[in-house]
Amino acid sequence: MNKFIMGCFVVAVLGIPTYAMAVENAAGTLTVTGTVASSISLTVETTDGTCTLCGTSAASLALGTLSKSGAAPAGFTITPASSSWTLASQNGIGVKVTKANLPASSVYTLSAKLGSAPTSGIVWTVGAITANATTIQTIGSGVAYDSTLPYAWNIVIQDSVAPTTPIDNVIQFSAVSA
Amino acid sequence: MGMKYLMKIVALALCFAVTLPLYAARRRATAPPAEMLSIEFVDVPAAGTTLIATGADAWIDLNTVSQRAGSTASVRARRQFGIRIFRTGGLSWGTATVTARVNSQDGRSSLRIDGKPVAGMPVVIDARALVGAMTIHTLEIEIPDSVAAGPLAASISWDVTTQ
Repeated sequence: MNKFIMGCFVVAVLGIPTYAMAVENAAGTLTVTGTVASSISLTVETTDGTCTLCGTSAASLALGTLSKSGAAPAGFTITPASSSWTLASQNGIGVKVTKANLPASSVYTLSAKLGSAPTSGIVWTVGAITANATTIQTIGSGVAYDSTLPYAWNIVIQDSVAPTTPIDNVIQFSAVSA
Repeated sequence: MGMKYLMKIVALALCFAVTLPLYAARRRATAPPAEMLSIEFVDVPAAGTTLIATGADAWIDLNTVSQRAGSTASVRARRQFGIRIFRTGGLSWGTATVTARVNSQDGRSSLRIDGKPVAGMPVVIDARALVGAMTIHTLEIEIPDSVAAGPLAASISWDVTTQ
């Protein structure tokens, strides 16, 4: 009788762990799609004088008040001529172009133009070109990425330009992968 | 004799009374269950609409990704989404282990979930996720600069197991 009851007890106990150990599963899938776009990035790394935001794509430089016979800003020279004078940057403007997701391109072309037409009697030279506000002109071809190349920069000011005339302008660089 | 016989019958009846419901429960767990554990991907309100498709088979489209201007780091995209584990047709209780693995990939990017690199082997994303509650996760996709532009595709399998 006792064996029989014990047997019933064992049968009952064996049923319990089977119930308690039930494990449940669920599955799902997360699909990720997108498109990688290639890009190139241009920064103005260095200038003479006191550069603001150098290392970005929007650097600026305040030269203060300039005159034919006055002192040149740091890193600049003033060269007088008979009817004009030239403000020249000694080290030029250092421009750097980097690329991403563009393995087929190893070089780029750099161009420049002015943001607005200079006052009559003022001429801007960037690299080897006389810059203007209407035509974008090439100043560097076959330039390797990731190197900071200096581009010559000077401003010729005629003596006829009225005093207190601002020479403010923007040099707009653009790089195109080649 | 008659008393012993009666006791045997009572004992046997008690055994059946105890075990039959338990075996019935086991059958419910193994046969087509009325209560089924499920996982679903949901948008996180704070992150806006991330998922194009929700549910157990969800879809995130990164649209166009490119390197940030002026950056020299790899392209990185982050998306937040929620996971909800629940039991259909029953009470949501207990905890579950959530694992993820990359099921298929174009090989152009590396994936992280909550900072953990995810590849072909299952990685535990949450060891004790509450059944019935939503948990927020962050998917991070990194694309090296050296990879050519073009389409991106990956499929991540998620598994949930109760403890």
